[in-house]
This record gives sequence, structure tokens and C-alpha cells, in this order.
Amino acid sequence: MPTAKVQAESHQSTGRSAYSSGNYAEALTHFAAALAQPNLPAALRASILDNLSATKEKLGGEANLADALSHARAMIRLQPASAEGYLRGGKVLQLSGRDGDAVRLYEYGISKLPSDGSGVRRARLGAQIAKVRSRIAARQGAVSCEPQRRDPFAALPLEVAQIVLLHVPFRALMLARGVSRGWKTFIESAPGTFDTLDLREARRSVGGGAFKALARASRGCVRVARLARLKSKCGDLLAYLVARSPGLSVLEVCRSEAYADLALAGAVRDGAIRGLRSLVLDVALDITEVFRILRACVAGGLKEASFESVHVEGSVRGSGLLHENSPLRSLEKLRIDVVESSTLLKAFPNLRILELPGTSIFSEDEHLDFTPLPHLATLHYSQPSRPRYPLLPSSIASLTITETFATYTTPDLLSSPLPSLHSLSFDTSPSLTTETLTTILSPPTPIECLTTLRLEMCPKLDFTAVFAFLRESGLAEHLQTMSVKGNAAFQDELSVEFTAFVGLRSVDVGFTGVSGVGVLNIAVRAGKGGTGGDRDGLGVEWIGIEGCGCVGVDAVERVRGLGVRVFQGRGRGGRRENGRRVRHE
Amino acid sequence: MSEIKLLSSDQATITVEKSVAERSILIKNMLEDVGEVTEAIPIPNVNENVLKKVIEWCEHHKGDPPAQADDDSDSRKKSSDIDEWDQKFMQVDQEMLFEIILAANYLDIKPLLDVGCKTVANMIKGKSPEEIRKTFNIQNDFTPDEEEQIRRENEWAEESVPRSQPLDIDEAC
Repeated sequence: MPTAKVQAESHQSTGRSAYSSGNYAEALTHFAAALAQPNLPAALRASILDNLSATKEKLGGEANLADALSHARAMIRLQPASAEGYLRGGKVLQLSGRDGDAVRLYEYGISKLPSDGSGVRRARLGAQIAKVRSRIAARQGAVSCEPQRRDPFAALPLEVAQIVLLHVPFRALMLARGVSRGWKTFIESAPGTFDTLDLREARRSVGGGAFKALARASRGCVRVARLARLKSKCGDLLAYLVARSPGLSVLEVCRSEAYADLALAGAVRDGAIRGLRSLVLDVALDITEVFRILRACVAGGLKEASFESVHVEGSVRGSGLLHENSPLRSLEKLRIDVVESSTLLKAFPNLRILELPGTSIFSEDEHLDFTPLPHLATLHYSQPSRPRYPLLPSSIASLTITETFATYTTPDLLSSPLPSLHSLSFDTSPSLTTETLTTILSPPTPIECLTTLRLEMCPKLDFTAVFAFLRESGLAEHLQTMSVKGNAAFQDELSVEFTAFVGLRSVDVGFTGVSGVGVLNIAVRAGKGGTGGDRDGLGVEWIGIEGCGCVGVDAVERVRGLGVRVFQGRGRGGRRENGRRVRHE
Repeated sequence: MSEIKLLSSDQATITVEKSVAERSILIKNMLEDVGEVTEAIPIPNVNENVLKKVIEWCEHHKGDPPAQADDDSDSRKKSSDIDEWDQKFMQVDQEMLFEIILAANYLDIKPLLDVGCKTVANMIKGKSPEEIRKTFNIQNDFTPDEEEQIRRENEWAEESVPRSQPLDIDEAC
């Protein structure tokens, strides 16, 4: 009974003769039979694998070469210290065109060759390596003339290329259309390209021809249009774009010539915009026109609209429009720079945010009444000369008043309870007196949830008295944010008063007379009280000292050392300017 | 900590921590379907070099919170910020970059796909068409007339000729 080893050797030798005479298929079966014998010594197995790999190599083709490579790998696993597996692998890789890998394996294999008696083989292998190397060099030469650079939109599948486009801003995308015909077609036809038509990054005015091309190329896909720097000639084109973009939900026009916007107004008024969610017209429009636009949007099926920054100026005859039907119920946010009469507000019963920051030209004796807006939470208004504070709905949470004029016969701001008020700001109120402020803050029903108080640029306020009032009324305990920005009268000695502000988190003393001592005092004292709760003993977290020329670097460092963030102003330019002013005065 | 094996297209076996490999949704789903596997999972579209690179990324990001649900409200993603490590990771030749993107797409590793796409987007941004052509070795196949037409349409978008920065005289006084 011949042993497995003898059988294997017999198969191997038959296989070898078949291999020598070119009968590779026959050789393959014999080598396979040899390998199938059990319990062969490693050296014999490796030798058979070598034959098998060589035969597969001769048979050629991708699948056979892959087999040849795996046989070579098996050889290496069997005899990692022998050169044969590596050299066989190198040969296969060379035939598979993986020249770089082939050289590496060859070189590794040569290093494993016995040091004596393989000189001829070494020389032959050396020649082989040189051949592969020269092939690599030839290819690299070609590569360096023709760098390995490829058109990403050719290299990547469509859906991936489209993801790339989503990360390119609109302006760059439009420029990239000029690369090639392929790019132009691909960019213009990609689904997201014209989704947001954004001209805010425009480097020059957008002329008629350019805008026409954009409007045409967008093929009605625009959902968000943020338009800027349109020339007046663009007006009709804008109307064209709007009329052809059924999915338009956000429309913004700013920094453009007036005619463009008026033409747009026409397009909107005619009911061309359906489904608009947000409209920003950063231009001068007559309030009559604004009302027409708003009504058109409602008529166009507007359900949840939020119009921002509807600026209005010019002759105002708004109240007359109110008697027409369809109150603009869906509107939640409105900003109008100039407004004639508070009665027009009745048209927007669901307003939550109302900003009237410009110079309102209400008639002198009209008592401003915001109570028709039962959901109003945020109100910012300015009133240069009013006999009385306005009537407010109890929903008010945040109130900002600019340019108050202290001729109030009845300072009755809070004469009705404002249970939700948590933020009260006086911004640039040159005539606000201490008496008026304390009256305002002493309503019939105490203000319990006021957490933010800003008294900015109120030169008539006597802060010693104001602070005494805040302390005695108990308001000081609740405040978390306090600003006295822009009051030169606010000096260091008032900083000790902050002991009473036990819950304070943020203090702005920018552009005041405080020095380092005052800031340090605030940092040490403010916000340190509090009974229970998670704020206990945390202290103030943020102090703004923009424009405080008397606060030195060391004071800032010490305050920061206490774990307080210190805001010194925006940008290097501003600070430097302040610094210079201090030096030169 | 269990490990699994992956088999690259060029028949290399790579052992990788299971949790790392599961950054790939493809592999994750596969493992969920078949349960415990002992033999190597074939990844027929990705060669060893690229697969190693992808695994390197997955290992660095294995602690990342799961991807947020896509906010489709504004489909144009303006932010193309790439964190510093990812930027370095993506400093490879274009061929490798595209291979990584293709692998991320095939293996369904969304964050890596995004990083790759952002990297390509950044190669497009802030460049003139001519610079883009150079970057990607693209032939300009427009006729002079067509090119002039596009240039006119794109005038608003073109970077004005950069002027030298004015001297900072503030510091001097």
C-alpha cells in the first residue's frame, strides 16, 4: 500500500511531465490529486502548490491568476521562511500588472534565498525586477505628463456627484458651469442646483441678460430665492421667475434697484405666489402696495406665513385698507419700519412678533393700542413723542422701546398686568427719567418673572436711585440679564450694588465709566446668592466691557481667572480704534 | 470585543473590530441578517488599500454619535466645514479620494461619503473655470462663442481682480 506521500509524489511527477509538454489541463488534475493527499509534509505541499500556481499562471485569465495568487499565499503561509512563495507571488502579480507589488514581493523573496548556491537565480531575478522597474518608470513618465487627475463627475456615480454639488454654494456652482459642456449640462440638470437661487454672494450687479439666463435655466425649480444686487432692468424678469416657480416658499429681495422690487410687487399682487412662507422685501414700498401684496398672498392660499422685514415708507394710508375683508390671520411675524396707525394692526390678529423700529408717524394724540393682538409675545417699537405708553396685551413676554420721550401724562405702561413679561429693554431713550422707569416697574400687579432688564443709553437715569428701587422692590433678585450699556453716568461705586442681584448671569457695562475695580467688583459680587436651585452660588458668567477704556489688561485677566467670560468688543479694528483714542486724548 | 474579517476585492483579509466595521450600514445590516459569522465577509468592490483607509476612518470615528436625521428644509448645504482630522485624512491623490468616496457609497457610510463629497466640493469652490479644468484635467470643449456667452452670464459671480491689500497705516501712528 503506497503511502499518501508516495502517491502525491507520483501525481506530482506525472503532472510535471504534462506541464513540460504543455498539457496544462492534464497537469492541473494531477497536481490537484497530489494536493488532495492527506498529511503531506509542508515542503511537499508547498512544492505542489508552486506547481499548481505555475500551471494556473500558464492557463492565464483573471480567474486563474487570482487562483495562482491564492496558491502563492498558501505557500507563504506554509513556509514563511522560504523564498519560493514570495517569488511565485511576485511572478503572479507581475503578470496581473501589479508591478509595484510584484517588485516588493520579489525583493522580499530574494532576501529569503539561501546565501550560497543561488547566484544564478539571484541574477535572473535581478533582471526580472529591473524589467518590472523599467515598466513602472515608463508608466510613471507617462503619468507625470498626464497627471492622475480625473473629472469627478466622470469618476463618481450620478447620485454621489449630485451630493458633491449640494456642497457647492450657488455662486461657485454657476461659475463651474463654464468648465465644459458636460459640466454645464450636469450642473443645470442636477435636481438641487436651482433649489436655492442665491445672489447674495454676487460680486457685481446682476444685469438683465444674466438674470434672464438664470431664470430660464432654473426651469421652475426655485424654492428659495434670495435675490440681491438686481439692476432695475431685472424687474420684469423677476416677475417672470416668480410666476414660473410654483414651489417658491421663501423670497428675499434686498440691495436692489427700486423698479425691480416694484415689478415683483406686481407679480405677487397678481396672485402669482402660492405657498410663500417667508417674504423679505428690503425696499421702499408704499404701505398700500404692502397690503395688496399681503392680501394677494393670503388669497393665493397662504396658510402659515411669516413675513419678515416688510419695510414701508412714503405716504401711508394703511388704515383705509382695513375695512376690506380677509384679515391676514396667518401672519405671525411682521416688521415694518414706518407705520401710520396702530389700527392697521387689527389686520394681523395672530402676530407673535412685531417690530416697528423706525420712526412711527402715528398721530400725536392716538393712544397706541396693541391689545387687538392677543398672541403678541415680542414687541419692539419706537416712539419719539407720545403722551402715553401704549396699551399692551397680557401675552407680551419681551418688550423693547426705543427713543422714549418723557412727556407722559400717565406713565401707564404696565397699568394692566403683564404676567408673561420676562424681558424689558429701553434702547436709546434719552428722555427716560428715573421717576418714569420706577413707575413703569411698579404696576398694580407685581412683575414676577422679569429676568432681563436693559437700560441702554438712557442718560437721564440716576442709577443710584434705580438700583435702590430694584433692590427694594425685589426685582433685583430675579434678574438674570442686566445691561447698562452706553451710560457714562454708570461709575465704579455702583458696582457694589450688584450684591443684591443674586441670580445674575450676564452683565453688560460696555461704554460706561467703570474701571477695572468696578468690573472686578461685579465679577465677585453679582449672582452669588440664590437659595437652592442649580444656580446657587455660581456667580456671574459673562461681563461685557466693550468700549471701557479704563479697564486694564490685568483686571480682565483677574476676572477671567474667576471663570467669567469677558467680552471686549468685536474685531481687532474696533479695539485698536478705542485704544488709539485713549492714547491720543 | 468581537472581531470580524473582511475580504477585499484583491483577496486580502483584514481583521477589524465589529463595532468599527458596523459604521458601514451595509456590513451592519449584513451581520444582523446572518448573525455570527466566522469566515471573511467579501467586499468585492473595494481593494485592500482603500478598505484599510476606510477602516482607519471608521476607527477614528467609532465614538461619534449616530448621524442626525437629515434636515431637508434647506437642501443646499452651505457649510462645508471639515474637521481637522478628516481634512488630513482626505489629503490623498484624486484617485484615492474618489476610491474612498465610492467605497463609502458602496459600504453605506454616510458621514464618510459626506466628508469625501465636501472635499471634492472644496476643490471646486473659489476657483475660476480655468482653474477647475486644471485641477481635474478637463478639456474645455466650448466654442469661443459659447464661452463668451457663459462669461457674460456669469459676470456677476466672477471674482473681481484682486487688489493688493491697503497698507495698515493705523499701526504706524
